[in-house]
Amino acid sequence: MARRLRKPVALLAVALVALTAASLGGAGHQSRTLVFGASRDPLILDPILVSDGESLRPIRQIFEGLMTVVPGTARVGPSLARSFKASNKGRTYTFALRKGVRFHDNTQFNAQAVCFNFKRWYNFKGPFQSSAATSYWQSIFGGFQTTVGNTSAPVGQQQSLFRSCQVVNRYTARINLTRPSASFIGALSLPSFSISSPAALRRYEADKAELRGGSPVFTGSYGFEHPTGTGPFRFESWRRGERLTLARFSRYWGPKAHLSRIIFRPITTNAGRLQALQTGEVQGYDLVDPQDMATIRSNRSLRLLNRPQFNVAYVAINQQQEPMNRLAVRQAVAYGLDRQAVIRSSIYAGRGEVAHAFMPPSLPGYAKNVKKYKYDPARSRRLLQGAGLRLPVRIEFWYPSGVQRPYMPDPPRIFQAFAASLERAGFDVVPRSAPWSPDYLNAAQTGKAGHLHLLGWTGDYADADNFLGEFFQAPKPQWGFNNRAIHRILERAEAETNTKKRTALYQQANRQIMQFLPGIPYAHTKPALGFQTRVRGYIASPVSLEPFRLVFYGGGT
Amino acid sequence: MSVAELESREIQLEAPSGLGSEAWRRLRRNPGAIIGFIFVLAFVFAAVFAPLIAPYGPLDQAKAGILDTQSPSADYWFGLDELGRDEFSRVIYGARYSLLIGVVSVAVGLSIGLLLGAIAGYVGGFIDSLIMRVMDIMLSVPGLLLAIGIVAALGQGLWQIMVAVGVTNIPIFARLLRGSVLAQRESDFVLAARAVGVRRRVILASHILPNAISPVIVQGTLALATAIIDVAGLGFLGLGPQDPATPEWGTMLAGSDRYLQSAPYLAIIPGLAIVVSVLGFNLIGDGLREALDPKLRGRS
Repeated sequence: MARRLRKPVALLAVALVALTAASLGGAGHQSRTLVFGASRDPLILDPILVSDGESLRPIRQIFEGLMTVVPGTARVGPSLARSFKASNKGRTYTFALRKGVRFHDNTQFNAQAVCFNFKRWYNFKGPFQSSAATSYWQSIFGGFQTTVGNTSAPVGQQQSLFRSCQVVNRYTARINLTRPSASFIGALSLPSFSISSPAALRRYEADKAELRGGSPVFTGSYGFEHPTGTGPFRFESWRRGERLTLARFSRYWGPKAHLSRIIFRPITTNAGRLQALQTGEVQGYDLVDPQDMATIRSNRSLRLLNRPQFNVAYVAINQQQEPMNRLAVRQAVAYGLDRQAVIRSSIYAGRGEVAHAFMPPSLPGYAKNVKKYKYDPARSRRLLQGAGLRLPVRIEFWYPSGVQRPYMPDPPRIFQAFAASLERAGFDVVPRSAPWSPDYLNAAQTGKAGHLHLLGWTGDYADADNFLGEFFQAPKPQWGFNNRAIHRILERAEAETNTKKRTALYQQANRQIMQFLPGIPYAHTKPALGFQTRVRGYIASPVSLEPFRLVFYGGGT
Repeated sequence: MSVAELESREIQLEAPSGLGSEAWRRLRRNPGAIIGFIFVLAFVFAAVFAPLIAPYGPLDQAKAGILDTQSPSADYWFGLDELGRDEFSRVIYGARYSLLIGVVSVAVGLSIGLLLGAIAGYVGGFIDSLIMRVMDIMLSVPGLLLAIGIVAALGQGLWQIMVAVGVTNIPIFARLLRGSVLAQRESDFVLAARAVGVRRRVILASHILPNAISPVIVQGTLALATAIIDVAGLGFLGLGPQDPATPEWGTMLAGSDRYLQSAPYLAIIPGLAIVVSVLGFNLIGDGLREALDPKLRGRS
């Protein structure tokens, strides 16, 4: 009996030792997988159809565009295009494309693929023309070839900036614009304008969609099961609400990724993400709550990674809602928001500063000498009474639920603080909230989010156009105003190719905007990521889009 | 038990008016029920006289311009919450929401449930099975889940929560009352009333219901406790009142998770408030159950 047992027991012991060794030495060998805590699932992985950070994060790993943002900066650098040449007074751009690049489905990247993508975007119809579907295309390129059956395209939409795309030869593509644009090259670094495999787009019906209740619903499988780009990681699987897995692409044209796999796990609460990092369930996560930073800093196996400040949080005013079309009322709102108290509060925990403009101070074009509005509830009440209104003035104020953004760590509390300060300033605040996506964003973008709503913006590349132009260059339902002077000056600034003149134009625009008060910016923040100390090579980026290709596991724990 | 006692007991069975004082006497002798009464009285008192008790308004910043937590002190008994509001005042005002929603939702559940249960029990037959199968379906979905579904369908808000929690109470009351109506329907005094030609509606209202009601009173008290928990649960899940500043206990509790490490009292205090009020109603309910139990009746 004892004899017969000995062998299995010995085997078991060997197995146990081996297992222990494997788990101890895990860092170097088997765990070349990084699990990253996301705050939500992506919406869809078709680059052109999204504008939110959680969708763009994996898209940035799977796809590449003609241009990209240099890691750790907001500067624009080459990607699938090795170089470009502007001609025809900034109306024509000729791109020299990288050779020997393959899509994940093994088809070749070339000028034809570039033009196929641009033509696809330009020819979007029906549901794809909804501002909820193609907001980046619409804000950069304006319109589409035809606007048939389109219900929610931007108000006062101009002719599209895009005219045509020509295949000059196999590795040279030329894009013709309808007018000069100084921000066009910067915009091409947006992950939304990444190049997809034409074969995969066609095979997996990327252009199938319908409108349901006014919102576009994509019915093709491309963006859910077969996103195909040229990036260092390829799509492997996606179990909604659970995990999105990307695997290293072995035929990537550049230096290959160190990690063999990235898994994005959606964990909706701040506390949950922190806990997952502490227990080692994830190796890193984004949007560390300012509250939790001390906890991470005090733990030696964890590390805090700061992002440079490159965002703005604002209270938007919709001028379609009476009496917001009156300047005095908007001024009353500005004087009635206790921004200083909110920034100093535990919500921002020392990670924010009060914003006085709709763009970060680090960008050229920022103006220091804008009109500033210090909290003064008595003055607000006087302004409201001066406008002939009976106090309190009833306004609907929207805030999103179930979300944290880098510029807005805790929307319900920010709302409560602002609502309390507005009530002292002669307003009667009616609270309204909706889940962030799609309800809240749809309501905000289509101008249905009350008199006031909370929102913000993280920049995509170092250009004032990406902030001011994005907000105010054309009339938008979100703001509900048409101010020729402001729209015009931003159009001129976008087209201006002389840097000095351009900066002056944006400074002037900033001053005009803060006089006109389409909304009230209140915060610029310095967001942070949390990582296990052994995760190296993650370069925090001001534009919140980091390449995981460079990430690796260092020694030690 | 002597013969006289037995007789008096039978007389009592037919004379519901004697039930009250007898039960009250036994209730007073139950220490658990007394504690329950004290808790519930404190709760109701806080709810009714909130503006007189609370030193600050539920939405007021105790110190102007300071939006931050502060630990409990002599000035602020339960400390300040993350937006500089007095936690003590908020908890006191919170009692109003719990009481209001609890009472209204139980009233909704009770009235509809009683009606359905009485009809099902007394009419019987097809109508009975129909009502009871519908109730079974409602019971097969867990109460809080049903409430979540209803709030999701109706949208967020105070009255939506009342309706949601009320609806989850309907089948409980309906089943309970049907059971006791069935038991009473065949009793001698009902047969007697029927024999002398009293109309069915009158029999149901003045002979059966008063005798069938005591388990409902017990259940009603216990349902109040459950309703308070459900309301807090909905608030905790983010389905509370529209305004996030509302000092509803569940909402307060849900909001405290960000501050668990720096200001744990923000979670403990509303939590305790929920525990105390729920415990109070439960103790009273248990006391009532014992006091109204016919098997114990007549014993001293």
